[in-house]
Amino acid sequence: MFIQDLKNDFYGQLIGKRILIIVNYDVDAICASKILQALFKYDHMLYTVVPIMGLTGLRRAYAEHQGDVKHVLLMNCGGCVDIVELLQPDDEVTFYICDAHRPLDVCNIYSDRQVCILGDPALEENIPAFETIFYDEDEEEDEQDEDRDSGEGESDEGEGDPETGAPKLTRMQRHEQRVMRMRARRQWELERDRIMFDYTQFSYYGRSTALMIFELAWKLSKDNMDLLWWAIVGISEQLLLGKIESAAYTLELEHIQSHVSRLTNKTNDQHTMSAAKINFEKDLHLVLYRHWTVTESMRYSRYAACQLKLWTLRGEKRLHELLVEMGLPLVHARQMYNSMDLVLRKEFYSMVEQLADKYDIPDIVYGTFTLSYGYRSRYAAADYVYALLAILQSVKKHKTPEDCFMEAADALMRQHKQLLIAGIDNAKLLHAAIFRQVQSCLEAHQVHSTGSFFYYILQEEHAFFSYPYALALLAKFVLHGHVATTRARQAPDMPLIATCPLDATQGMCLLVGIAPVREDSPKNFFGKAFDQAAQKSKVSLLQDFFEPSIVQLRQSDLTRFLDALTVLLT
Amino acid sequence: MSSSNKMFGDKAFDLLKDLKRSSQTIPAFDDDGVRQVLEEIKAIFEENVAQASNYNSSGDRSLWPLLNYRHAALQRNKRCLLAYLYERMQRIKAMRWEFGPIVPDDIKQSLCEPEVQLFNNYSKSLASYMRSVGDGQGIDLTSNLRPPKSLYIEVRCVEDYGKFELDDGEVVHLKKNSQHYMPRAQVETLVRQGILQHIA
Amino acid sequence: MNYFPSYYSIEDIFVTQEKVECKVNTRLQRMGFLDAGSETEDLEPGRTINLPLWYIKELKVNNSYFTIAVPEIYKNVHKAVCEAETTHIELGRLHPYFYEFGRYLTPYDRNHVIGRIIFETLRQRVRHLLDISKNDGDQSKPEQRLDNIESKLHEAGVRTNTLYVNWLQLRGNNICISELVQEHQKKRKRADRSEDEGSGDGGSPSSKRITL
Repeated sequence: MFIQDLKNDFYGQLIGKRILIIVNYDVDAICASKILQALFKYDHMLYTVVPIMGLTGLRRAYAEHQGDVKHVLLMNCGGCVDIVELLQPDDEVTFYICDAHRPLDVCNIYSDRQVCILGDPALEENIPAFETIFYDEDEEEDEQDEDRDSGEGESDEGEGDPETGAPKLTRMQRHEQRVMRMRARRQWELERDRIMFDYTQFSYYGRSTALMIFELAWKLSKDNMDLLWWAIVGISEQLLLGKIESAAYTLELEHIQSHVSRLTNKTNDQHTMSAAKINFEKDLHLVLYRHWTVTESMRYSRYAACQLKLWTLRGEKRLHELLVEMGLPLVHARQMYNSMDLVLRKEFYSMVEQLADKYDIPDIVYGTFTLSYGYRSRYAAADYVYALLAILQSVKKHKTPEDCFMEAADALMRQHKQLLIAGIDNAKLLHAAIFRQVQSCLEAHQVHSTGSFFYYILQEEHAFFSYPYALALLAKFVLHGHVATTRARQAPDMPLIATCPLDATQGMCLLVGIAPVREDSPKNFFGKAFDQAAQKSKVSLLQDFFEPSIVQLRQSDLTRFLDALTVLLT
Repeated sequence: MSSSNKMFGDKAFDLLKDLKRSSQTIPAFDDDGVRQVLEEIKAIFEENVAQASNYNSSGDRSLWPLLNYRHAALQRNKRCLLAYLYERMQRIKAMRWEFGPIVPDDIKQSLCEPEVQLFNNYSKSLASYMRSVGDGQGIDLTSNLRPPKSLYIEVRCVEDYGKFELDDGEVVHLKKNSQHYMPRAQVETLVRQGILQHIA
Repeated sequence: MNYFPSYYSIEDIFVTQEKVECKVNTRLQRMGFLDAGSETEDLEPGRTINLPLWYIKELKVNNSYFTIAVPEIYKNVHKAVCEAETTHIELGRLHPYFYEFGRYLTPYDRNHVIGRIIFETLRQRVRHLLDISKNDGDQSKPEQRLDNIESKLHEAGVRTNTLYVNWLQLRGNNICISELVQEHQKKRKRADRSEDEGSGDGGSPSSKRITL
């Protein structure tokens, strides 16, 4: 069941109740949950927040709090699985699902009470109609009745079927009818399977959860700068990780801009230099360049690096050419951005923009927001996203994923600036590591092709790449880099699969599928493909993450699995 | 008199040194050390009594400095011993305020029997005092050590605790790494005990 | 932070445990045990021995048994005091209880310099102390430079400063975990960790998981 009127049908229902908020391990979900928590705080509503990372976590979290709570809110999780089937909840428990993952599970959509999906059904694509996928159970019962009747033989024949009130039929006719019905049923089932396959074939993402919750806050007149900023961070994550098309992002920008100007005019301390301000800006797709040196930022950004092939000597030369033409002295390009000359800093954006077409990097420009507060702190939304991702990845021996989650949530707050700064430093390390890995992989020609897809296998556990986000970032970089260097004509149409061992002792590895370069839409068919390949090759696959294109499997099964996948995709 | 390297009073001083080294919580009561100091005091005292009576009868003042020295040592031992007990007492009293009426087992182990009694009695006196003030309502002096700024606070669970029932009957499952928003008055003790962490 | 040691003051007991060098003036019967180097039962005049302060302070200032020698450290500092360059002296290394010890010795110092030296030293150093208290963070290590009283002042300064900064940043309002509990938890965690390492296989598989 969809809920469109979030203010009355969702928030209004929850006031004064105790709520369990289950939050997925991603930046958008964290931002959304932070906004929601702020709202709940205004109304003194008791809540509990539990971070989770996959289906197992969801089940465990629910089991732990089962019985104590009647209202469960799922942030960026649970939309794509039949939640009632998965959790077996009591009748009086209601689930509110706020999930950007698509496609939504049909059982959730057609649940009449227990599962409420926050969102507008008009925005959803081709949801199968109810009749086409659900068989009316009453009819089925009738049929069974009839089956029994006929099984019992002629003795009861006189009584017939009172419910349907069907006229008495001869045995022959009845048999015929049943066969007809079975055939129709079979046909219907085939049709249903086709429809379901079409519906579930691709996994993709809908609107940012954070933005949706922010709009709720707006409708409740409880929005402020901080909440808006978190919503911006949420949607920026979707863009930077390629979860949504840039067209969808641009559309949302307009809405956000209107929120920005409204809130800016509302607060009356805008004249003070140090007040928190959000500004719309044209910015560059260069990772963290405000907190790094220009050369490094260029080299470690996927788009710029792949277009200019910065891992080669020629690429490096080309980068220098670009800098020369921009009039940016190497001395400045090699020192931290914020210690660069003020004039150069001011002109940096326009210099890059002017030369973007010439150097074949037109898409480096995009619209985004920056947050400034105090005299020195100025961050782009992307800076926040990269820092939070790095924090989420920083799992260590004595630092559990839960700790990382909490740290990331804290880093969003302006009071905990030091966490954000540490996150940015971590993000730099991560991006440098990705670049080095890409460089060595391309130099050693480690990307192989099966004809229908590329694959890249990391042989050893890695401090960074044994975690899903970093592996996905690496895989994407590798694919783009490989496509940029290879001569093969069909390369831009081929997807890539990357894998990295998780834990040597348990022999598991992480596998991630990346859509082809030429594919514009961020739809990813790997979830379904992995599933089918696993069935064919009888490999046990752990599809625990809510991103279906990221799975875990035994390392020993890897070859078999890839073989099956090759067969499937050709 | 034996000429051991140990000076008088050194053992008593060691007691204090050990106590000071463990700056916060309490080390195990050093039964053996205390007994040795008491023995030393007794020995000094007996020798002094013997010599003093000798001095009284003969009037020989040549041993006067020795007598004086040993008396000082005796006083010194006494002072160390009392300071040892006094310091422990202070820490035990502080524990009532910090840990609440129940101290962790491993700390309890390091108390001697009279100290356990002291703790219980202190706890009892405090409780009856808190009942007696506040217009017959009683006031929990251990809560609201800082002025509260809000009725509800956001807390993060750092240790598995289990079910926790609020005054209004709601049951909250306090599990490590979950985050909750709860009435301040009811969770303050848990924060003080390190099960929850107050986040801003 | 006045310093008035009570009878139970552990600090004061520590100070009075310090040894002072004394010269024996008269023959002291059966006190040879105080002199580790002597073979005789009695303490011979002319010997130099170290006596604990708690004994010395029981004696009269001009007693006939011992002459108390002023420790070298105070003489060394004298020059620095005169040149007003005391801030760089590593007082903690010189003597952990520089001031308190000096205070006890003042009556025995015939030239009456110790009193002036400790007063001047603190007067010159207190400004510097204030500076470093403001700049050192919470985690600054205990320093060799400071004597006991100074490091206590320093600690108090750092604490006050942290509280002040927290107040400015609106952070001071949180309920904190009680100090004793925190200490206790740390101890327990240390114990747990050492058990972990004791159990043999270092990297336990459960510790490195990526799923929640």
